[in-house]
Amino acid sequence: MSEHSLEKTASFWQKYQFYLLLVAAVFVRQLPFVAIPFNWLESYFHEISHGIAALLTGGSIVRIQLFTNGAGLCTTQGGLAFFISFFGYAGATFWGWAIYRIASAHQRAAQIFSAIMLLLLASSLIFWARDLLTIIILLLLAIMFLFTIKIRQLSTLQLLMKFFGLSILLNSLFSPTYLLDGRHLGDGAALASTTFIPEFIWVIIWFVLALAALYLLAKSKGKVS
Amino acid sequence: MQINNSSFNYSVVPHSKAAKVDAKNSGQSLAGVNDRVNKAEQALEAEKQVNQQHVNQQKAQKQNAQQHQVKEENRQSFELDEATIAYYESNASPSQLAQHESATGILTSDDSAKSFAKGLPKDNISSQNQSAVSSYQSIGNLAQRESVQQLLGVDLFA
Repeated sequence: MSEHSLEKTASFWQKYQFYLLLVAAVFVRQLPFVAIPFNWLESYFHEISHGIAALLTGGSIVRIQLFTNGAGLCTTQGGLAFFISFFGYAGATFWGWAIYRIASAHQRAAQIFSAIMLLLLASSLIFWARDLLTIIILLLLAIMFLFTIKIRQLSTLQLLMKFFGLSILLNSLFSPTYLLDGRHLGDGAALASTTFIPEFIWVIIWFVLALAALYLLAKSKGKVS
Repeated sequence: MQINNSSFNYSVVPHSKAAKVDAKNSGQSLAGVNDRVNKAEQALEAEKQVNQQHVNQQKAQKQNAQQHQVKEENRQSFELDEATIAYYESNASPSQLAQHESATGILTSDDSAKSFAKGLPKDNISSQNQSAVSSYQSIGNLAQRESVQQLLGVDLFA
């Protein structure tokens, strides 16, 4: 392969990396078993966002529960219920966007961020996991991030972190739509009962937020290092 | 006063014999004597009936007296229970109540119910009753859990 064609391939990859990773993330989401850890990852970031919102508004996290089907529960005490409810899906969107942006910023930043994620998972495991299933799921996620730290080739780690970020974003884009099942359960229902704004409005807000995050990432694709 | 039939017969018989002896000594005719004997016997029979009635009356009085005594005893035990309840309702402290119980030997209603329940064999409690009690307790637990959640202010976010 000539030098000119190699440059052409590299520029194509850099130019369309975001869309290729997005297609890969959509494809992986459809796979029966491979998609499960990514669902857990999105569920974990959703629940930890509830918890962080509780901590930021003066409350505390009592426990975090994760289930094999990608569902989760966060038990909090105190704090502002509106913010805690809202930042479940909004927080997962933010995590997805932040992971992709930090991984895009620098290869070393991706490695540091991966270590921070491992620390957060370990803290959750020690302080807020109370049942065996949640402990196992958190351990598996921690092992996954531990492997990413061990990757010697930083460009591969960078790519993997971007993929994680897009997977979380995709999940947070579609997960709110599952609330529109007529059962009036979940964060949308909690916000509806607090604010008297219908549940589907909150679902639209979360959907638009995730779309906006994807748009911002797509727009900034040319500025990556 | 006790009256038995043997002493009554003894008192009547000598009286009739004395009447027959008097008739022989006076030399009157046999028919006249017989009449007099018959009349004496009728008189004795009448007296015997009167005495019998008297004995029956005394028996009835005795029975009434016994019944009255039984009623009186029952009434006294009921009054004791009422006194205990009144004492219980007068906000007596548990230690005072225990002292009262030990002094009188009468258990309060709760303790008597407990001791009664202890005495019951478990097999006698039907499954329907057991399920009814467990259902009642589960409702109580739910209410208790809700009150604890409200007390602790714990929220769940899915």
